[in-house]
Amino acid sequence: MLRKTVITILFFVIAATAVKPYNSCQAEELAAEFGALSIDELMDVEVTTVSKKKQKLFDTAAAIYVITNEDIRRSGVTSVPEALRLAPGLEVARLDSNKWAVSSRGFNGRFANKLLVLIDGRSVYTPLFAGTFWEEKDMLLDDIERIEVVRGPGGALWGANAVNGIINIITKTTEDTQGVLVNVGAGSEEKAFGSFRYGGKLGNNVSYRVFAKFFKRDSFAETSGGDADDKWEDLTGGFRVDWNADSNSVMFSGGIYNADTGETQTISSLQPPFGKTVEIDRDLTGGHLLGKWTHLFSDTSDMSLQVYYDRTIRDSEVVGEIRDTFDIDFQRRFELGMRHDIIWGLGYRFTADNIDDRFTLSFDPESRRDHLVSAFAQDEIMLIKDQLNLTLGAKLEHNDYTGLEFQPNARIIWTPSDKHTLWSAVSRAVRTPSRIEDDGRINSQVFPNPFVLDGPPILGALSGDHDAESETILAYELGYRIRPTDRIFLDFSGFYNIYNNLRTLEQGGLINENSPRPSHLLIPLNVNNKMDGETYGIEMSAEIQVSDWLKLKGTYTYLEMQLHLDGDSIDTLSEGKEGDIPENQFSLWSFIDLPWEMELDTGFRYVDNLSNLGVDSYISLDVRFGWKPTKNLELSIVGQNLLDSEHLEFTSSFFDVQDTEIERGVYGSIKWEF
Amino acid sequence: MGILKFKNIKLLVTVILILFVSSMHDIHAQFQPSREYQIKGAFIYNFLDFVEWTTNCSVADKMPIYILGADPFGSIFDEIADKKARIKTLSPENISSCSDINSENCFIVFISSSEIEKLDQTLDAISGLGVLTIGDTKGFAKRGVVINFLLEKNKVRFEINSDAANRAGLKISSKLLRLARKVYSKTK
Repeated sequence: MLRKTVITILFFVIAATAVKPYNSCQAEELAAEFGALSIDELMDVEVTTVSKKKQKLFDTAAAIYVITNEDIRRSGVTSVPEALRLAPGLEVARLDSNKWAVSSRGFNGRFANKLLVLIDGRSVYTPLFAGTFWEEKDMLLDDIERIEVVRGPGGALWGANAVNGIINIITKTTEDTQGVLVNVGAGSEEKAFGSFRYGGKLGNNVSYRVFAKFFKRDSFAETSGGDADDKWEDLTGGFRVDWNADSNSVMFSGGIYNADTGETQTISSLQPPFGKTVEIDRDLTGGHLLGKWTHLFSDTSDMSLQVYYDRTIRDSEVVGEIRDTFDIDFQRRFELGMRHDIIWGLGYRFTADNIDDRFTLSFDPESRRDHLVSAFAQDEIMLIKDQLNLTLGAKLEHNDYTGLEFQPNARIIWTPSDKHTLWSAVSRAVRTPSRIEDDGRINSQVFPNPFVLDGPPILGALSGDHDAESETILAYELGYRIRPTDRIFLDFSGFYNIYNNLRTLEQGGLINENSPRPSHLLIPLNVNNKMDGETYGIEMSAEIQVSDWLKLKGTYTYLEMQLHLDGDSIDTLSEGKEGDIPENQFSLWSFIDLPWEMELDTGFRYVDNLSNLGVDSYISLDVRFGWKPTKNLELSIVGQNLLDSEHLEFTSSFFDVQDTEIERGVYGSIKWEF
Repeated sequence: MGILKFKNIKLLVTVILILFVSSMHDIHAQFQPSREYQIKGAFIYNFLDFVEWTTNCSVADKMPIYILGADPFGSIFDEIADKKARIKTLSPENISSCSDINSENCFIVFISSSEIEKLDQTLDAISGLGVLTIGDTKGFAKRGVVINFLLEKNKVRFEINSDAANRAGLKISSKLLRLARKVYSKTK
């Protein structure tokens, strides 16, 4: 079956290449083709074809995929994690209405910790567990210019914790968001949403925008039937100002949000009945300010300085946390001689937190200040002009958990013609311990004493270790990109990663513990790093402009994880994580431009089962119908998860959260721009 | 589903090798006008149907189009003319200054972006001669070029300066004015 499919695709590509070789004959044909069009038809012709848009991507020696604003609009997604499903090489699993498990190349989980996420250069990863709280990071999707998804270690440029990938969300400049935008909608799961944006100019050099967004999402269904109490309400607002003079530009942005999320969780307690299923109500508030100044010396020489301040406040029955982050980054790029393109930079980040302990989650110390200092350098060397480039880079960091960390990488890219390119990379990266691995304690489950009637209860708890080490990765990557014609773009990448010092939970012996009261017997699961592993896989993406009105986009991801405990490890849970990821994932989107400004977009995806979590494989279908009755108005109706009334995508690991199934939903929206 | 079985790896490698080899032919062609200029060239041909010369010059079946400055069109106008039997064709000539123009018929001047510094002098030199001026640089229409191309959302669009058209003795059909992104006119 696989062979037949591959051979069919191959025939198609060869035929396309053979029939229309891009030489002077084709140029003449194109010219004639345009010459035969009427002026109205000419108004519809696209200047940049599929392959040209991807020029910068084509020249990059990394497994990169760009999700454009158009992709986001036409797929009908309503949040950033849902948009990430469009990229190959990512595992995106929706836990419930407000939580996602997102990772790249393995190790997925709600608290997945090997993926770095940035919004306009501001890191939104939390040092609390070294991951991203996706429910805090809502934004106006229409403001997103593109999302760059880079799989593979980006330690040399982006620092620690970019072990398996980097997601870079880039917003549009204020020049591109002028005027008024109003977007309202409602549906069965997307209960109600509305957003407003206004962009204007102040004089010749300054442009700005402000926006506000509100939404309310319905709860999904418990696997056992009934409502899952996972509602989500969010109010977000923000602004951005751009100032541009000749060789200087300044960007200043800020935002605030307030969200209410919920879930059903079983919270343990030392008093009988020892476990209580409660509806958690989580209050999330925060805001940030970001400023960036860029100075251009020439086309190939520039420098930039970025500063941001970020505050997040989380409050629930599980834990309360207030975190302040201050970050300053300097970067300088220049050419050395004819063949070297050099970037170097310095950075400093300060993060301070104040945690309100609860029974379930507590930290020692309750309050902590951490400093992170880093320096990096990268040299892109032109070995053969326009054909062979070698990039060498490294980042040196000092953090308050493990001290000095060094992350080097080497990349090489060969472009024999403008139709295809081959690249390869070797990198070393680290994931430094998070607050919870170092200082945290999770009181997970309490059982009545089985030996002594009315004896002290038994508490199973996860305990951090102040000597927790960094996890390390050595990654080997290979990639190939080809655009046989103007209308076809294929991208392949493969990788083999070797991990060391992966986190384990070592079970200690029974200990008498008196605090917190009442006295109880503790079974500790101590954080340690006694596991190694390998992951390997292949990622493919294809974009085909079949005709002027039909575009197809497909992705395929294959992933395999092999984990091995050290000989002296007494962990019983971590090796099973091999089954936390789907072995195969496949997606296919078709974008159809119908007459009278109508659009029909259909997306199909298949995700393999998660054997360790009891989650079955599933297929899903999203359909969007859009119509622009006038230049300023866009109506759309989107159906999501249409094939099943509900399906399970992931189950929670650390906390005993109710398994929630994602339900089928429909929503309609009206967008008005002027 | 162990996709990484040897026979599947062999298949994948074969596929990639075939794709690789089939892309190896080099493109040492002579200057190929880019797709953007192929589209613009086709637009200019279409403009002939919507622009009427009301001055004393004679409208020939082979109308000269002088490309002032850097020439991005190459052989485009000939290719379009060859493939479709048109009564009116454009005969291109690349010139570096207005003094090279020696036509008594009506003609078109395409002002390249390389001439941005000299735009005002150029427009003074050729205004009033029944010349349709066309450009594709930001701000040209506002400064007096009759039709100026711009790119918007990956498609070719144009703006028209109807005052300049009137001064040059050109009558622009209302259909073309409606298709224009913007029309500059002091008489509103």
